[in-house]
Amino acid sequence: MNRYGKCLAAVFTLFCGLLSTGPSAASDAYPAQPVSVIVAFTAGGTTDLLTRMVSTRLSEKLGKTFVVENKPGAGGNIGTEFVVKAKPDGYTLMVNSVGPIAVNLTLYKNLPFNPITDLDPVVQIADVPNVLVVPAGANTPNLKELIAKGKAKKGGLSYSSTGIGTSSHLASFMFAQAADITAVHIPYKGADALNDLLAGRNDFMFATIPSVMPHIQSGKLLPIAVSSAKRSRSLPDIPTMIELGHPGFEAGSWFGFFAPHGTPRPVIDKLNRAVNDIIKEPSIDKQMVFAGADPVGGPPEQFKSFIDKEYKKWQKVVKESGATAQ
Amino acid sequence: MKLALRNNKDFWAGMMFLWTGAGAMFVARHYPFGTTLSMGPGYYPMVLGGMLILFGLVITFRGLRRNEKMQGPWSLRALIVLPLSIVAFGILMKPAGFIPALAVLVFVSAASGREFRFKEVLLLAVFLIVLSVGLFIWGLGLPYPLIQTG
Amino acid sequence: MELFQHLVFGFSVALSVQNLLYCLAGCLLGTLIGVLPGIGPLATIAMLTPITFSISPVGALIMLAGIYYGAQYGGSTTAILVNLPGETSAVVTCLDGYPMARNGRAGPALGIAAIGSFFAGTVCTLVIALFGPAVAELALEFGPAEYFSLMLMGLVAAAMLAQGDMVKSLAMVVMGLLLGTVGTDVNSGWRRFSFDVAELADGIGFVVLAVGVFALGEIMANLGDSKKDGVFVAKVGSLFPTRDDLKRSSGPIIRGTLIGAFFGVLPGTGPSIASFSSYMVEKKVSKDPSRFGRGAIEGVAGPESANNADAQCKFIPMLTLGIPASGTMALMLGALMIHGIAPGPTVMTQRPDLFWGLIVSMWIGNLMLLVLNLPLIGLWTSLLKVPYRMLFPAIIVFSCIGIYSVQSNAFDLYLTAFFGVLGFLWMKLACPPAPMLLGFVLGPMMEENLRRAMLMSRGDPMVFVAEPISLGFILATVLIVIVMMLPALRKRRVAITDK
Repeated sequence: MNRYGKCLAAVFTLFCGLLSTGPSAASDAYPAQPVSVIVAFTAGGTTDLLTRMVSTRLSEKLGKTFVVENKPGAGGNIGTEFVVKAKPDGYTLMVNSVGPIAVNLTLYKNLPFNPITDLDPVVQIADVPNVLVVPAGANTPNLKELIAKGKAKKGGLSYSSTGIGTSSHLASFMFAQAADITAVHIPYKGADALNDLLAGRNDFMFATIPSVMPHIQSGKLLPIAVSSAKRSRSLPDIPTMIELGHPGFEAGSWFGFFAPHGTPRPVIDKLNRAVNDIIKEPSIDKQMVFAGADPVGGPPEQFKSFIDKEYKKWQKVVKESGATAQ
Repeated sequence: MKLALRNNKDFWAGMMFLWTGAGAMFVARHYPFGTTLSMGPGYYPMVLGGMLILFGLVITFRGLRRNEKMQGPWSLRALIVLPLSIVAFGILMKPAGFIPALAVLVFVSAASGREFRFKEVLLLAVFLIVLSVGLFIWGLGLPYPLIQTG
Repeated sequence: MELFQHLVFGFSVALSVQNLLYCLAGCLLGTLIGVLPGIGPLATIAMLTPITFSISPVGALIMLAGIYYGAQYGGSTTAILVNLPGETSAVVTCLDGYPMARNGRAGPALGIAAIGSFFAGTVCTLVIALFGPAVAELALEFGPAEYFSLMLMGLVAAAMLAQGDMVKSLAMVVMGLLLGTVGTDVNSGWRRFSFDVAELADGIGFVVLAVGVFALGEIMANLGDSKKDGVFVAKVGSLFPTRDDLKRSSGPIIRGTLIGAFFGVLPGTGPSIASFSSYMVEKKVSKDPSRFGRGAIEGVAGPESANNADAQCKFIPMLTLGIPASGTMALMLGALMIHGIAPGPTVMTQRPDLFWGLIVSMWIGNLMLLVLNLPLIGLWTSLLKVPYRMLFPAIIVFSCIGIYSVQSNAFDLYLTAFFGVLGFLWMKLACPPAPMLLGFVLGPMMEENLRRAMLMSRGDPMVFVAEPISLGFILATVLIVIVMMLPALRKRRVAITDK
């Protein structure tokens, strides 16, 4: 072949190479290029930071960058919808939590997707229990006193929450129902919930442990119960609601990895194994526990059945509380 | 009466306020209103919409009385092409990538101006693209693919 | 002299080579982030997360803090030069800073902004050192009723922002209030005016609105004007503030610092309230308020000092109460948590190196920024000599990238384009945008706090006058209305006799 022909052949080969669609999803080849990890909440929150921690380790472990992208908005629905519509080739993943996955389907009318069927669970990273906190000066150092105050005070108690339909709101509702007291819901946008609670203007709050850890440690907020089934490793001295006489009470948050429905099984398994290994590492475990998250892990099926249970539980609570997001 | 409307600053301002307020009240009419002591989500928008209508009426009539003209020239081209360039950038970012989207943005936005010299714009585009890639992608680490294939 | 000992200790921590470098890196990065609209916490995190986890918590905090207040310095630069507010709080600087630039006085504007910011930063560093925890406790006394009354007072006083045409300004305030209702209502969960578009469920972004109305609207207006072809600003005057400038600015700087410190300590106030308030106060105490909006240096000196004071003093609720006031701060909080440090009153005693090292480093950072920014003024003003036909695409490019970076969402860009057109129309119709922005910022907070206060009081409206602080603001509001009405009535009589 003359020089011109060789040149042409080289260009043609290059052109064909560029034309080829995305990399194959064969598990040993995966990941062959950077992976997007979508987080449906704003950058800087504890979940976001813990996700970034895990993603950094994933990048190191699997050899290609796992880039975290924040797509906040609409209670997590914008980011979730984005991943639902993404190509299930393993290069778009998501870290999501209880709200958008298990609650929003019931809370929002006309949600244009179904997070239970449109997303494949990969692995549960951690449980983030809610802790029932009261202001330090409120004279309600334990659950019994709080309930007593609720029955005695005119107008009932008031509680802060991080928003309508959040686990913070719904857990408080569950508590008020179970204890048979009047409790008025005072919703806030995210972290604003703490100001009035710290000042004693509100009586209690179910908050995720990471968000109130600083205040518990400084003594301004008293933890009187945790909402998980087992005691939290971050607050081992605090009893669970179940221990305090409310059987079956489990109302916490959690977060985990998800992939669009139809992502190849080998990819999911590889990710699952990698994350399981990562969260067992001592430094990662320590940081999570300090922040208030209990690492979980486990196989994808365990996560899926957990989600199904959560969905049914929250469906009931949302309907009873009458909360809606129109 | 008709001639007094064209370029009548206050008349059109008043109309804008009036119809915005009316539109707001129309959209918000089904939101739960509640009472003054227990306001629903519809209370505030309805009240504000009503206030805007009132303001709109006052300003419209003032405009009909005073007829102050609108100042300054208009560029219809700038009004249409410039927003279009921004929209195009938004549309192209995901399917085409950072660099093609930027290129389109520079060219189309430059085209909305009065003075357009192709070679100049080309150089400007190259300069801005190189600067942006260096600053945002490499320097600040924003995770946008430079050119999207497939 | 415990304070002296603490400060000396702080210097020893902050002046280590490592921490100085982190401070410098933070300030530089912060300036860059501030200059570019929209880019803020995201770029910070994307860039720093790997580093933040591996360097010492003191270093990480110093760097993040540097970024945070560095952004305040940077944000005013583009606001003055091309009417592009790089940070939320820089919007007010556009009002008089940009006209100053158009008059060839960009240099003095930039200079005064830097000097005022430095003064505010220095004073606030002392305030934090001396009064930090005590002030934080006071801030806790502000509940929803107090916030509502405060904002009501601010809104009423905003009628003074009226540049001549009071009716239109008030109408624009209402327009802003209405735009602020777009999104999800906190108290009921209802999505208002979102037209089923998911992106509108969280409301209109402030950056989108400000960049669209101010920067884009201005560009469209300029493009239509053949007189403005060629070079943007023909004559660039002296680069530094004159003695007269400095004399005029001294009062505003001091007042701005006090105002900014006040709002900074209250975690429930956003970043732009301090600068808006300072602007209004300056306009009120000025002997010739008509100069405002046309290039009055007081309109730059006051708000710039206020927003830097506000930014620095917001550290108080963060360090002593653990309440972050913005995205970048939430990041700092998170970084602390990851490192195993829980902010709160105990931080001062358990990690004095962190607390005092940070405080001293804040002052050093302010000094660095002053030293960095003053020589840069020459560079920035020479940018204005670039022919406009090449300058404005550059502005558009940086605005678009910045806005897109906030949520990686093209919809934000469509919205910006829409507000650009709207901003242009408003200019033509002589509807001032500043009152609208103020309404937009205050409105949602007022409504939220009003309804929340009523919820908490179980429907008892007396809650607004029951507590002293809230009562004070309500009385002040009534006073302002009375004071305003008197001269207005007198003026109207004069105006009628004039005509």
